[in-house]
Formats: sequence, structure tokens, C-alpha cells
Amino acid sequence: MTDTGSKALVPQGPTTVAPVSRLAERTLAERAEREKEALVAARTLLVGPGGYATISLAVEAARDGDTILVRPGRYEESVVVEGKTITIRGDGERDAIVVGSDRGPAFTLVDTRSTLTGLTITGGEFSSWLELGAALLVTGGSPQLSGLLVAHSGAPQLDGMRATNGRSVGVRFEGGAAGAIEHSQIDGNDLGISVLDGASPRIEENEVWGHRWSAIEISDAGTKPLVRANRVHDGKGSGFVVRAGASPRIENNDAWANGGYGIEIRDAGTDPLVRVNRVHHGEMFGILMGDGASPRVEENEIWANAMSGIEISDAGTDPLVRANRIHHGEETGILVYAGASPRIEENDVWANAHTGISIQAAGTDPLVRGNRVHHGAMFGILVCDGASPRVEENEVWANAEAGIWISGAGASPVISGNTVRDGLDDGILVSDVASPTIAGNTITGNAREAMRVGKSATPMIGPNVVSS
Amino acid sequence: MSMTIQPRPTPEAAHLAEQERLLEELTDELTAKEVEFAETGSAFARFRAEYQRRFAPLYAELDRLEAEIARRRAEVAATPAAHAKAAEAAAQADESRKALGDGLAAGPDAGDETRPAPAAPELKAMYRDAAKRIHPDLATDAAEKARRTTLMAALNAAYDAGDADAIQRILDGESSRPEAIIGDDIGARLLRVIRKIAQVRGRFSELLALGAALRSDPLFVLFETSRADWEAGLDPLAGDEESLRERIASAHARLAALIMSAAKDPTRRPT
Repeated sequence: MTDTGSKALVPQGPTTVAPVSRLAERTLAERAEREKEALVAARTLLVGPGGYATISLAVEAARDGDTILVRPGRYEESVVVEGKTITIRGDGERDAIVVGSDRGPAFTLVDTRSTLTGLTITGGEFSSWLELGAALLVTGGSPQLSGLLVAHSGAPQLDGMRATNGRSVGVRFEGGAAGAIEHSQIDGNDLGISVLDGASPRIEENEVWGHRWSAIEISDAGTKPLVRANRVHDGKGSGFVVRAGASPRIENNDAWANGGYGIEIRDAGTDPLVRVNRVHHGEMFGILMGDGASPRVEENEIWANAMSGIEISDAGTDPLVRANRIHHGEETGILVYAGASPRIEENDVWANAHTGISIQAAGTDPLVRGNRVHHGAMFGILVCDGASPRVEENEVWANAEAGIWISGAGASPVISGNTVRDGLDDGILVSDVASPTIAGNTITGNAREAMRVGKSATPMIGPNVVSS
Repeated sequence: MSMTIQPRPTPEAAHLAEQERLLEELTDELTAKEVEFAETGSAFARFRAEYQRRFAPLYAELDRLEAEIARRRAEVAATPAAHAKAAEAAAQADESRKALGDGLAAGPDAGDETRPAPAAPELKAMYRDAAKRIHPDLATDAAEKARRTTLMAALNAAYDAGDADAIQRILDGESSRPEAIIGDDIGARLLRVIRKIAQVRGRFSELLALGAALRSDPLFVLFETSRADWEAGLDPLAGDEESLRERIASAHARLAALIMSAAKDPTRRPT
């Protein structure tokens, strides 16, 4: 490249190998050699009959590279692994190897790259209502957690340890922790997985269900976990909560039958990427965005939720909502109100029990473009109560009521380039004292009038292609 | 009430809007990539300084000892193989002394403040905003590109120094600057947008090539394998340092034994 200014932007590769780089080459080779030797020298420590009485004693005796095998049994202790890189593995049926404490976490992993696998972990409740406990607490470091069952209640073998008043998280990552939790079951805790305080672990292919609050909660600026291919269901609260400036990537998850929202995204500075998830059969909205959050929500499938598929509210909430499929909901497909100004583009919205896309309230000025809205039980697109969106190039057809309805004082949307066809009612209906601009639309084949304008409405109507 | 009708956009205008949207998306992606690169570059520089401070003296000491051991053995054994080994060890010692020199050349402060100090999210956001506004690859003529290049360098320096005020000054300066638009018809705008898109795409390829070049540096490979732990506050180099110190201790012991045996056997003592 010839441009020196851009060069200043990026780290530069060396043209010749610097002496210090040759040292690094030696360090890498020596490290590989040591790792080979360590593999040969690594020991296996047993916990249970014939071995250490507790996991904590084995951890104390273990050196880097050692493996601790935990035999079936119930270990009532609070294990702390700090700094060391070891593997702790259940040796037998996972459900028969239970580690728990009725006070504090069963495991606390501090600044470690250790591996934890094949165990049932429980407990972690604190006696105080003010404090949130954790069955498995990760502070810093990058541990690998897999094949675990983290259950606070609901698993029959844990009855003796079930707390009635405590509040507990199944797994909590904090203090900039990285690492991963995967292929684990997190069941019946107050909160399933909590990631905060700049932690950025990978959360992949877990089943998280039956929680009393939300299943997975991600908060704080700098918190950037990758949350992929998890199954999150049957909780009393929301499936995913993202708030307070967090920026996770949430993709290819299934969230269903949760009591709160499927995915809840709140607060200014919260800008996750939410894509290719399936959100369905929830008791409230599929995806909620509010309080100034600005995520990118794309290519999700959202269906059969008891309230709106997507709800976007509040000033400063300016997400990009693109190429989602929203259908068979019991209320509105996409609801935008209270000053939110998202970009809603290229979504498929069909067969919802209320309006397809509904935009309400003054100051709510989204761009609604290139969507396909059809076969809804009410209006295709509704603009009311002073909202002034740009509604462009959408295809709206076969809805039970007017394809596009504009209503209410102060509403001055621009409706242009849309195709509104084959509806069971009017094509475009302007009522009350609304004053939209309607131009360049194709309105055809609707059962009643192509365009009906109420007596007190003052639309500006340009050239449209109209046929009955 | 005035009745202004918005007619359907012409195909050119629609195409322009599409291209502008594409440019905006590409610019967002490029800015994110640039931020990632700037962060990586700044973290790598700190890592390099720390590695040099800790390891260059250790390797220099180890290789000096090994060279001295080989020299003494060659004097005693006096075989061609022993001499060759001594020469090799001496060359190795010379080379690792050079790595030590690298550190001195980097200045007395190199090595200070080596822990990664991840930029505050606000600072990062400001950097992103500013980079997006002044990126040289979004300039449409040579003079503007030169101006932006200078600004970009100042921005990077400010970001590296964690100086939010300086970034703010750059942002303020840009927002008060009248946009220099030459030709405002759709054709001219379309041409500009298409050129900008090509420039942004070109910059993506440059970044890719730079990334590949970096990965050919063993020190960068070491950095990448250590980065997550290092930024999590762990010391991923601790094992390497401990092992080197053990080898230095062992070399000291072997050299001492050689000196001792030479002293005990005056007939073998080198003249």
C-alpha cells in the first residue's frame, strides 16, 4: 500500500524478522516442548472412595496439567480453583456426582484456565434477599465448562438442598472472564446464566430452562459474550435479557414458552446483534427493544407469541429490524410507539391476529420499507396518534381490514411506492384529521375502496396507480 | 396549507439511495474493523514491550552462559565438533544480545505500562465516531485524503494515549467544517458514492493483507495465543519465564562445575 496515513491505523507486519521475534519463535517452540513433557508428567487424582475425601483437598494437591476424577457421591463443599490449570471431571453418571453448598458457590473459579466437566452443581444460595448467589461463579480467567448440570431445584436428588428463600444464579461470569460454557443443562435456578462486568465467554449449545426469573441475562458495557445455539424455554421470566450497555452476539438460539419476553433488550448503549433466532409460544412479546437500546435484529423467526412479535418503544430506541419472519402471533406483528425510530426493512409479517405493523404516538418516526405484510386479521399497516413514519415500497395484501390505515391528529407520514392489493377491505384509509402524503403507490384489487378519505382528514395525494 | 407532493423517486435517485445505504453499511463495518485493528495494534505493542523487557535479558543471559560453557569445553576437548558448537553458541549469544539492543533502541520507557489497558467504552465509541467521519478512504480527492490522513494519525495517537479531550477536539473541528461538495446533481453524487464504495472495499483488502502479514511474525502468534489470558489479567508468560530462569540456573551450575574441574586439574587448564 502507498498511503502512509492509513498505515498509521494498524499494526504493521515486519518486513524482516526482528531479533525479538526470533526469541518469540524460541519461546513458542520451548512452550510446545514443555507441554509435551507435561502431558507425560500429568497426574490423575481421585476424589471419593479410595481417594481424596473432598474435591477441595484434591485441588489443593493438584499441579498444572493434572486431572481430578470425581467418583459418584455428594460433595457438600465450596470448591475454589484459583490460578491453576487443571481438569475436574466427573467419573461416572453425571446425575450421581453432586457438588453443592448451602452457603456460597459450589465452585468459584478465579483467574484460571481449568476445565470442569461431567458434574451436577447446585446450591449457591445466600441467606440475604439482597445478595445474589451463584452455584458456579467465574471471576476472570478463561475456564472451559462443559457437560454440566447446574440445577438449583427441580432435580429430585437435590431436594435436601433446595432453598426456599435464597436467590441464586446457576452460572455467573464476571470480572472480564472469557472461556466457555457448552453442552450443559442449566435448570430451575432463579436466573440461569448471568454475564456481566466485561465478561465475554462463549455460551453455546446449552439447554436453559425452568427459571424463576430470566434464563440468560447479559449486562454492562464491554460485556460481549457469544451466545449461540442454546435452547431456552419454560422459564417464568424472559428468555434473554440484554441491558446496561452490553454488546453480545445472540444467534441461532431457540427461545420458547417463556413467561416474560423471548428476548428483552434495554438501555442506551446496548447494541447486541440478534440474528437467526427462533422465538415462539411466549407469554408476552417475542422481542422487546426499549429505553434507548439500538440492537441489530435480523433474520429471526418469531411466531405464536401471546403479545406482539416485536415491540419497539421509547425515544432513542433506534434498532435495525431487518428480514425477520413474524407470523401467527396473537397480537400485532411489529409494534412501534412512544418515540422510537427504528429502521424496519424487508420483514415478512403475516397471519397475525392484530395489525401487521403498527406505528403509534407523536415522535415515533421509523422508516418502514420493503416489508411484506399479508393475511393479517386486522390492518396491514396502521399509523396513528401523531406518528410520522416513512412507509415506502412495502407490499401489503390480503389483510382483513384496510391495507394501510392512517388515523389521528398530527399524523403526517409519507406513504410512497407501496403496493396495496387484494385486501378484504379498503386499500388505504385516511381518517380523523390525519394529513399524510400519499404518492406513487399501486392500489389494486381491494374489496372496498382503493383509497377512502374521512371528512376531516387533509391528505396530500400525489399520483398513485389505482384500480378496483 | 401548502400541498407539496413527493413523486416517486427516479430510477437514478433510487439507485443512488441504494448505493448510499450500501456505503453507510460498508463504512460501519470498516470502522468496526479499523477499531479492532487499532486495538489489536496497541495491545500488541504493549505485549511486545513486555515480552522484550522480560525475555530479552533472560535469553541474552542464557545464551551468554551457554556460549561460555561451549567455549570452555572446546578448549578442553579441542575437537572440530566442539569448536563448531562453540562458534554456534557464540553466534547465538550475539544474536540474542541484538534483541536486547532492540529494547534499548525503543527508549528508556519501553516496558513501562505494559499491562493491557483496554480502552473505556466511551473512548472507543468516540474513536469509532471520529474514525468514521475522517477516514482517509472516504475522501474523494487527493487534497482531502491528505488532510484526513494527518487527522487520522492524530486520532490514533489520541486513542493510544487514552486522550478523550483530543479526540473531542478532532470531532469538534470536523463538525464545524463546511462540507465541500462539488456538483450536487444525482450523477455527480452517484459517481462519488461509487468511488467511495470502491475505496472502502480496497481498504478492506488492505486490512486483510496486513492481518496476514502480522500472522507471519512469531511474536504476533505468541501474542494471539496469550491475548485472552493476558487481557483477563493473567500472566500467560509466567511458565515460559520460570522455565527460562530454571535453565539459566542450571547453566550457571554447569559453568561453575567446569571452572571448578579446570581448577582441580592444572594440566588441563587453558593457557
